Amino acid sequence: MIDVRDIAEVAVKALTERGHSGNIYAGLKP
Amino acid sequence: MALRSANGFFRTSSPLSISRSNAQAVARLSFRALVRSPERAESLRKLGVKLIEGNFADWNSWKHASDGVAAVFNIIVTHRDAVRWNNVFLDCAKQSGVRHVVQLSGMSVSPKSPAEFHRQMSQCDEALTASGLSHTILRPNVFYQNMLRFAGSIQERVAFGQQPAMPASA
Repeated sequence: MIDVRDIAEVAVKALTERGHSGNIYAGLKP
Repeated sequence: MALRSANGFFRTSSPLSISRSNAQAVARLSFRALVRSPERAESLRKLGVKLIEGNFADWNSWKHASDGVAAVFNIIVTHRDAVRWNNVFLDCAKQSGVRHVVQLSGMSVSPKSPAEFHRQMSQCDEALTASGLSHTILRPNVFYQNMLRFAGSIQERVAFGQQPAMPASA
């Protein structure tokens, strides 16, 4: 499990950086 | 925090906050949010987010919110009409010239999932992929905060209870 706030950095990176288009980032299985 | 992608791992520097470089990137951006109730989104407004009052089922609301926007962070909502609303959003995003969509989906989403919400997220992911829009899909595992829904049943019966039913109205 993760804190919902943990998603912030990944979301910001995907929104503002190049190179993430078409990618799917999946959480590690517990 | 580490997320797995088809190309390996996507690691971030801090599990609980955005990095300084990202904070600087964020500070240069302006944000808007489509909300049903501006009163309930007052905390967002105080952060400098422009609130667009509207209805998720309404094409004009989405168009108003997405016009002139470069990138969208799209959260699939828990609602029986989530897929229909998402399709309206995608239509408006394309017409508005949105350049990139980051979609918050979920781990283990599948059209064959026994969970309705996971089937919906799967449909929304497929629709985004088929839309032609540049996109990134995030599929995190369970959030700690979701466990709070079960606090009552755990306290009463030392067991996980039923999740609340999906809302039926917009």
